[in-house]
Amino acid sequence: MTFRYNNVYINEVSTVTGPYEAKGPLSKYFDKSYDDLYFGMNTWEQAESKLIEESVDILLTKIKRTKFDIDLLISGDLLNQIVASNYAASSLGMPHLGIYSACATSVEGLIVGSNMIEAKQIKNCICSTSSHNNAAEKQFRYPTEYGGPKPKTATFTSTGGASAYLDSKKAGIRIESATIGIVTDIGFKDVYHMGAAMAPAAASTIYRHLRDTKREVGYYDLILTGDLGVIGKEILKEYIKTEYGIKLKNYDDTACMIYDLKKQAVYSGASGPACAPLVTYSYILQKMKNGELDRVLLVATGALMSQTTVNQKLSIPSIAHAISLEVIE
Amino acid sequence: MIITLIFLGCLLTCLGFFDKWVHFARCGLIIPITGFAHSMMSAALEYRKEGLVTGIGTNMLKLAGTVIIYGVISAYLFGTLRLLMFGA
Repeated sequence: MTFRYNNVYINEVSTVTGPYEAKGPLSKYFDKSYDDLYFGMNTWEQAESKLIEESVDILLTKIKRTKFDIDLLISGDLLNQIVASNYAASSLGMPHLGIYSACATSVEGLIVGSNMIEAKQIKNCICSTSSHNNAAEKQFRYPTEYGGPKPKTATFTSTGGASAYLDSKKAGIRIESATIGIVTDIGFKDVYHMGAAMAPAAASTIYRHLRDTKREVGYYDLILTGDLGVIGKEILKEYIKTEYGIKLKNYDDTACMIYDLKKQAVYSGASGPACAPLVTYSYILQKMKNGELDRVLLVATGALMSQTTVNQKLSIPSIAHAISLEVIE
Repeated sequence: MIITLIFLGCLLTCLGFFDKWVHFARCGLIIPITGFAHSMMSAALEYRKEGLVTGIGTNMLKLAGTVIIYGVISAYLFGTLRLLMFGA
């Protein structure tokens, strides 16, 4: 399913991160970074909620509007029952839609918001996503202080909150088209190698997007996948070549960009719903505004398992949603 | 000696060093009794904000519980086997 949009723009964005992201190569592009993982809150869950709240507050200041001017807040995160979003929405007091597609949540939010703006149901909206390393570790893996060794294919959940303000007013970056992903399941079960589980979903979405829009890979200055990691990135390149005959050019993965993979102990790169928007809203949009990139296809990938299904030895279904961003001519 | 190791395992977990040292020492720290103490302490720290009963009490043995259950079962099995083979 591919949509085209005529009148949807990302007017402004905001990013808030934790300490690990601030030590990475993109630190200067973030709006705010904290030194401590609690952000002055009492628990990891509250800290994750604060990331959304704070990123929306920064965004409102940037666009010089109040919460009463916003028609809709669309947000999602990695916690059970998306509680971080729900608590943030409760204190922000805007009409709220909570969404979940694991690490593909950010693009899902952009698609939902863009469709509603295009259909003139709303005038504007804010799309937010957050993830918190320790909250995710606690929920999906082991207690945060537990030091069990992990394989090299594991990824490190990024800590951050990212928000985008969408409007029909012509400013910022244009959202040109979007493709909704199909949930794919190749029967892969290794929860410490989610890049491999998500690569087929990303390949399918990229293929269908190019097919539906009748474009070549070279049309995009950059194709950016969500959080496949160093190894998953190579798997995707090979998989898409053999399965769909597409040779990826100008391709990168946000998981490999946010951290310094040589210096920081992040295994095969970043992951989490915040990973793709943190990189895109900071570094990539800046490059687009500077004229270094004109057309970018962002393909956020998500592994849709829960701890219960992992314990039951079920395979990991994955999804990837794509959105095409263009510089306004 | 064992009690000292357990104490050190717990203390270093609370101070936040243990998990970093495991990246370096790996099984050298996880296999001995220090790893057992570490697994219980890290779970207790993680869930302390969810209450004494529903938090710490319920979750402290989250990782270590398996070791205790199968430790007891295997002790029983091998004890019985020894009794059958060599007598009381």
